[in-house]
Amino acid sequence: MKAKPSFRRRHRQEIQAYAYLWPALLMLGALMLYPLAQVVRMSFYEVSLQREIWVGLGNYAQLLSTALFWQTLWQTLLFTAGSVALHLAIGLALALLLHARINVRFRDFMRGLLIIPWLFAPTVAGMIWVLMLAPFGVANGFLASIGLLSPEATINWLGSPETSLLSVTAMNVWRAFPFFMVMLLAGLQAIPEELYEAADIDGATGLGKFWYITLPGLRGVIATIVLLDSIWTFRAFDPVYVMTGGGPMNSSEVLATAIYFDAFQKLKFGYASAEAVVMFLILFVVSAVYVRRAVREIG
Amino acid sequence: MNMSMMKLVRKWAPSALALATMSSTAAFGATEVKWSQWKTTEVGAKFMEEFKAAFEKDNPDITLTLVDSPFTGFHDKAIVLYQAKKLPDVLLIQVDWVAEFADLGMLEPLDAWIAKEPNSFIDNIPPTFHQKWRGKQYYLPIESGAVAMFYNTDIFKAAGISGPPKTWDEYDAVAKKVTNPEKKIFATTATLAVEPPTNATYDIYPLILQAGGTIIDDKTNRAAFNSPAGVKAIERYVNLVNTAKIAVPGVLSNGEKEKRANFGSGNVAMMFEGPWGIAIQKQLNPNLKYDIAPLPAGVTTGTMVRGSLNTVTTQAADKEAAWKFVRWMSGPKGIEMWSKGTGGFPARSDVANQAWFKEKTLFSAFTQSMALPNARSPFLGMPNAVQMNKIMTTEVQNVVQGKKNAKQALDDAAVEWDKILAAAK
Repeated sequence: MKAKPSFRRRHRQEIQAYAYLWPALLMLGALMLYPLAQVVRMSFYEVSLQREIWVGLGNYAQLLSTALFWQTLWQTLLFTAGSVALHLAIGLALALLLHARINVRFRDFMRGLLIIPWLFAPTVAGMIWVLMLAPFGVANGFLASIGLLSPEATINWLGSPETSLLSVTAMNVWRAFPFFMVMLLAGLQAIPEELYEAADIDGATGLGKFWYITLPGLRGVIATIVLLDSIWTFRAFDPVYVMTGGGPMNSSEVLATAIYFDAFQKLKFGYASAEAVVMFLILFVVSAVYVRRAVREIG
Repeated sequence: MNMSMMKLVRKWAPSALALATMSSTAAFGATEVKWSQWKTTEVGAKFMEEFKAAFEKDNPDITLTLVDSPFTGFHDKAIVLYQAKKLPDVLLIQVDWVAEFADLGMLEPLDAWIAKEPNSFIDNIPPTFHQKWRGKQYYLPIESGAVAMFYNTDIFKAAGISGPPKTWDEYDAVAKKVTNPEKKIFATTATLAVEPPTNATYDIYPLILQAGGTIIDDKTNRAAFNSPAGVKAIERYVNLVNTAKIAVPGVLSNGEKEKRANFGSGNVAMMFEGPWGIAIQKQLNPNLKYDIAPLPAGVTTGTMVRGSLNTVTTQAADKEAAWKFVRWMSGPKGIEMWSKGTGGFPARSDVANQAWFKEKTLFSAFTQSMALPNARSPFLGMPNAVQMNKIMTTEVQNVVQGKKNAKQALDDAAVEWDKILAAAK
């Protein structure tokens, strides 16, 4: 009887893979796991830069009983849902337009032009929008020119609690829709043309083709980019910090900025760590969905 | 290798080795002092290089390295650097940050060094900047000044106004007269943005003093601004913004940047600003015609005294060298050069009394303001002035938005302030 190959021989490929992976994993561990462990540890202490006092779940209890935390969480969810929904709607609409039978050169030109917002760093985009949304900025000027606003009136986009979060969301949508557009366009180009031809023969309408062929064909791409964008938007810091600082009256505060201000202005590092842990847990759940999906697809 | 080459190598190798092991940033044999500040952006790199050269000429054993960061975020960055154990040797700070940074362990007390100086050194620094925190002196000023009123003389002339308002009533009348929204001309930029939370210095605290109120009660160390005088001050401010509409729209999002830009562009007739505003306006619009007057008086005068302060950090590599720079810069020669080069108000009376400065008529309003009753700098005794300013700003925002009346807002602010003041004891 032939001898059973050794463990090493049987798992040579896996061992080889891990051999290549471990330096990167070590780096990831140092850069991710260590800071994460520190934040989790600090969340159980009242921390100033000079002392730490054990409070157990005290920071979490305080957090969950603070109205401002729930307001901030709600605003973060609104900001995320609004941004992602509009990213998808605008990205899909433009992807469908670019996928239509149009001149190739024109399509390539428009694709290049429409991707420009994505090239701006969030901070730079935020500064541009601050100027655009200023009381005498381009936005109000445009509205006045088309008669929607009287010349001497202004809308206080960033300085009004009713419109501050909306304004930040608008900037975020403008900056990031190109990502959706590019990904969905690639997804559209992967749907076999024969399906549309067969639908034409069967007399399907445009809406019918979109609902029964296009959307199902894009389901995988949509699910992936929606999940990724939700994670990125949920933890966004730059747009709010640059444009409104979370104001006025905390009306545009999101979790990321709240954590920052609680740490570096209120000097409540333990409390801020507890906020960060809550944010991490929410994102972890969302990420787990994405990872499970990805693993299933690879499997 | 032949013999002559070997002799050459033997001769120069030790020097080459010594050079190679030296710090790349320090001059040969010199100690490096890193000075972290935000002034280069405001006053220009050219002057900063001249200033550095002047210091190094007087102190050839020290190389001064300028580390410039924008003012926005400077406070937060300093805390991060402290956590990372990478604080510079000398840190420029605002009056609001003294108590906070000292309590965090970032600042080295200067008392021992100051004690070795002649009396004339500290006696010529304005008394406001002798304020200690927990019995220790942590800073020396490089520039100072009270908040005064810049006014656009062209706008005043066009409106037929002969001079700056001296009282609240005169201010209200002038403000209503110059405001013309159709021409996008407004009396002022009301600044209630929460970031950075320094706006209360210009818009809110002076009004409370002018109304006869106090910010913090020295005896009880509790908030005292929620008095009838404080309420009257806030009600007047909100009335001017909401009812008379004399301010540029966007009150809740306007800050120092917008205030200065609006004034520089000629859209605003009046601006509450410190003497550092002169250099800033020179950069924004050197052709702007304006003058400066003390703030209008309510039942009394009142203004905030602010300043930029140098500190030696606890993480300084060479604290003696760092002190040498701080001492030089806050001494007569450093202050004179800094004031002449930046247009800043001298933080020493021996320099302010020099003939060249007395000739600068623009500064006379600041000199007058500093001498008036109620020229205060409560920040030096506020344990977390950044947070306390933010609380005050947010509460006044609530009043502007109609969510609270002035009394409710000030009472709520006082409760939060008292918690912070009590925790710092």
